[in-house]
Amino acid sequence: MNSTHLLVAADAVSRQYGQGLSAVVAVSTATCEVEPGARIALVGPSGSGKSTLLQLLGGLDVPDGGQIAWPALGSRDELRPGKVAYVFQTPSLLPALSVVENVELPLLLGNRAPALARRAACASLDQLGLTHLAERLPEELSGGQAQRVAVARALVAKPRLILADEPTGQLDHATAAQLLDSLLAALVGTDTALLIATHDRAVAGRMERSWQMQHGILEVS
Amino acid sequence: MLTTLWLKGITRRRSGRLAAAALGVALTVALLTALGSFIAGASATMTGRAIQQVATDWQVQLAPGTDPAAAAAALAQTTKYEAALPVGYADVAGFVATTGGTTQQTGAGKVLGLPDTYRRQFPQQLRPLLGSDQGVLVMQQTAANLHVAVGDTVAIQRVGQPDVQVKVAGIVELPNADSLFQIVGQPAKTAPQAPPDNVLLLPMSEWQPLFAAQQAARPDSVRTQLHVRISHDLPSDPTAAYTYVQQLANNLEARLVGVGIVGDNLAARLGGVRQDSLYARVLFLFLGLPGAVLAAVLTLAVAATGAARRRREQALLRLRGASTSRILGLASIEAVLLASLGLALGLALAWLAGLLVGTNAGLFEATTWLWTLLAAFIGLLLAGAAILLPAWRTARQATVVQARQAVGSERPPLYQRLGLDFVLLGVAGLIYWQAASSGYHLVLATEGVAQTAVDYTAFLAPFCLWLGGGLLTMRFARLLLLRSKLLTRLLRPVAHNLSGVVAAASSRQRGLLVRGLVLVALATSFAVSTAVFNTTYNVQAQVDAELTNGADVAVTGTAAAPAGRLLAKLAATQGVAAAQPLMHRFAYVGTDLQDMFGVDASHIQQSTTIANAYFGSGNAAATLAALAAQPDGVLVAAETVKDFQLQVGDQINLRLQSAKDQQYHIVPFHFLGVVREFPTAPKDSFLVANASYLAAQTSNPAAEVVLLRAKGDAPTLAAAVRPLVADLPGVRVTDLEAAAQTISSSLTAVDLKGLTLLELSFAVLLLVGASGLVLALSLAERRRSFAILSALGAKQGQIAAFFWSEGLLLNIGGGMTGVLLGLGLAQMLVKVLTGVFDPAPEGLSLPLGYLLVLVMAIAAATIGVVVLMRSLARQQVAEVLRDI
Repeated sequence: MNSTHLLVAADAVSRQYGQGLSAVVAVSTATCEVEPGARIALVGPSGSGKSTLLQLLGGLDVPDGGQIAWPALGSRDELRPGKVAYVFQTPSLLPALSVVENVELPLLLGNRAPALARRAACASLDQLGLTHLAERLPEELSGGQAQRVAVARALVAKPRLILADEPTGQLDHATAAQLLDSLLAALVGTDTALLIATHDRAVAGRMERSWQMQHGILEVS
Repeated sequence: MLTTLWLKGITRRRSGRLAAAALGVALTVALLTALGSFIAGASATMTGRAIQQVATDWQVQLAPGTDPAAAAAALAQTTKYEAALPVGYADVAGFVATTGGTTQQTGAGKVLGLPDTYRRQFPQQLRPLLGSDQGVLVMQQTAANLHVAVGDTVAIQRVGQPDVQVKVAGIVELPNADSLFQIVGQPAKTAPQAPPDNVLLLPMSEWQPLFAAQQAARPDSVRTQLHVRISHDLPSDPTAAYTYVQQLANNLEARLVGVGIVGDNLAARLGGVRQDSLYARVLFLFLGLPGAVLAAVLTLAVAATGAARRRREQALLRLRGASTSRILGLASIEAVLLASLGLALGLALAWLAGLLVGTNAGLFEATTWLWTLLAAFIGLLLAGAAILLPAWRTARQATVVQARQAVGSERPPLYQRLGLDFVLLGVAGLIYWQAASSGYHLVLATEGVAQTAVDYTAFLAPFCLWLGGGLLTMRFARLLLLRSKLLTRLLRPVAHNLSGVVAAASSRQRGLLVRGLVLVALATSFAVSTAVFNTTYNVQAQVDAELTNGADVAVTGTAAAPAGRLLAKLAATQGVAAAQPLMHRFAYVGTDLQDMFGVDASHIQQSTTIANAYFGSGNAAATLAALAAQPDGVLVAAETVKDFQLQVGDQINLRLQSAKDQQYHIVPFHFLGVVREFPTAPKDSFLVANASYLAAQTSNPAAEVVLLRAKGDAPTLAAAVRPLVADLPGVRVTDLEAAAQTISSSLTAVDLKGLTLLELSFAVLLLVGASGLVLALSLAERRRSFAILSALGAKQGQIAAFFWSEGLLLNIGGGMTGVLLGLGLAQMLVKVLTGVFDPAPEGLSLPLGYLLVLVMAIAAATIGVVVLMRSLARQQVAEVLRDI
């Protein structure tokens, strides 16, 4: 089977923290694939290894066993910035930068000219209805606003894959729904894949399919 | 339970920060303790040297008929003593000697009667030049006046008694003639009397029968003194020792009331050292205290880098219901831990420093324990101020919501609103001007007065300059960091297309950056000012020593046996770079007898340093050229110029002794300019003229002194020269290093090497701490931000751009400002402490090697931190992200 179109292909990937008696197996022989345009929920209780798997799939961490490849994206070093973007559970904006500076950061890191980066950041904020917050500092935002800015930052470089780690975990249901609406709306018409780790069934229900994670073992449906 | 948990948490999670803060406390404690030790050590050294230089501690003048044994008994009741010998003083009408077919007669003189053991008990009073050191001895100048040698006969013209003849057994020098022939009981501040030119010394067994009849007939012409060396178990501080010795002397005078008065040479010498001792204390405080202040500020800065985290932790504790006292209790655990570590390390460092640099006072000696306790107390206060004070302020003043905020509202700091920087700089200028107008006389130790005074307010000038300069740096740094466009341009070479973002981030973290930058500036200025001052001090000490000794090595002969005879031999000696003769004569200026030096003005600079500051013109080369061009030219002391209202070109008639008839004759000179200092010249008035003219006019070409410039080590050359001149009677060979050790009129006698080494080492440590530690902790505090950057795809070089930008802003900005501030401080220190220098320096001496070490230390600290942080940022992304 031709797998060159796949964004991620993980084969029997494992990750363990610590050694000896205190060793914790976070991910055990996980095998999965992510195609362009996929909408996947990674569901499981806290501590089941969801965040570790996302970090491995995004190239932020290196597996102890098994292999991960990014056939359509290139090598691990080529993933970020641009091709893979993250949205974290807790506010992950740089506190010393304003909202618009936070959003343009991935473009600047990708060596985009500052003026072009600023224009794209403004467009991304506008897309999510956040233009009025552009000059504020992260500490001046509510939790929901900060997460929406984080989504804008993830979208600004038009990545092929977005990995979101419990992005609504600290939000109330209404704000969580609003955030998810914004994210999904922004992805309409693109082939950007979305892999979202959650233990919220409502969130998982809005994805095309779900993967289950339990004690580090992944079940792909 | 919570206490144990908290303690574990601190030691596990904050061990690095705790260690850094403990190092700051330790440096503060160590510097203060070492300072105390140095002050005590230097005072003890000065006291010890002063005591060593006194030939006879007390000269107790006994009333006629007083039994010396009874006086010695009274002395024993006053204090322990090591020697007490009676010495007879008899006035005589003169001496006569017939030698070589001519008869010479002197004016009035003195004949001393010395006990047999005198020379052993008071070895510094006599220096044998020729013949025996026992029997009838003639003072060198008297021997020259009478033209007598060993074996010749001298007639003593007793007062009211027939002449008696004695046979000369030896010729001696009396190095302490001033004190030996002092008028005991003369009120302080009266002009000292010159010692007699004609002196003969007899064994007491001969003196007593010779002068018994004179004493009976003219009791006013014969006196007996008790020469005493008391036990030298004295306080180590010169002022305390002076007071103690003076009290003992008063006590003895009270016991001997009516029959004896005390000539207190020891108290007089200690009194002279008091001023040097006070200057030494001032110097140590001036040079050392800023370092301790800086270490304290560094500790506070290190603690402040964790303030945001501590605030968040406190907020969480309060959310869970912890009371203020509970929060403070937990903070006090950290403070106690910090204080304990800091004190232990600080005392260990001070002890080690004492061992390494040779402090001769321990940490818990009688003279230093107070300093050690004070340093420990300040260490405790510092630990409390670093941890407890911010915790208390946050707990008392902030709400939970405010406490959770990482960035507070932006408002110029209070000092800026009050203009405190300008106020401090103004105060510094004002105090400096005031000190300048009083001639920088900071220390007052009046002769004969027990009380001493130090004008400590003058020290506020450099201190205010330092603080004001630091605050002004903060103001300008804040202004720069607010100008984000300018900052973007400045950072572009380092951060490239990220320069805007880096500039924005730097601008919003300006509080942190400004604190770090000012700390680097203050540390740099401390290091630079200390190093420049110390180098200038050492250079001047060398100049002072060279001025006193005359050159690297000086060979000093006598009028009868001038060293100039051996000039060719000395010049050819291995290790001699240049040799120049120097005539030393005496000339009458009116009725005032002054030292006169004859030089070869064209070549004298080959063998010794002739500084511009030595001359009123401020130009040594031009003055010496003018002297060389005018054979009868003479350079005169400013005081003489003023007294005689001289104008350049005026003819001056001086009286010089001719070798033909030993009589003084008028010799005309032309006044060329003012001389302030000259190698081997005394501190009071003297004259400098051409040697060839002096030789022609006095029929005596002899040069009493030869000045040698060494190719290498001066003591080695002196050792090589001594055997060559051993045959020359009364010759002395002295070198620069020995002169530096014995100069007593300035602080050169105090060995500052230990303190200098300690200070300069601490300065480098503080600078590395300020430039590296603060940067590292500040970056470490934001490793979450750098992990996010990494997660967003920042390459190592891009993350490093943030590190480099911050590091360069801190260290280049702070370093450059610090160098300027340091040079200003050094200039002010040198001026304010003018009294320390003799002669005053012509300019600052820059220690280029040490400054290079400073630059390298800053660069190494910055590079080290950036490399370390890059490595941590690469390794810890996943781990840090798990915490996000």
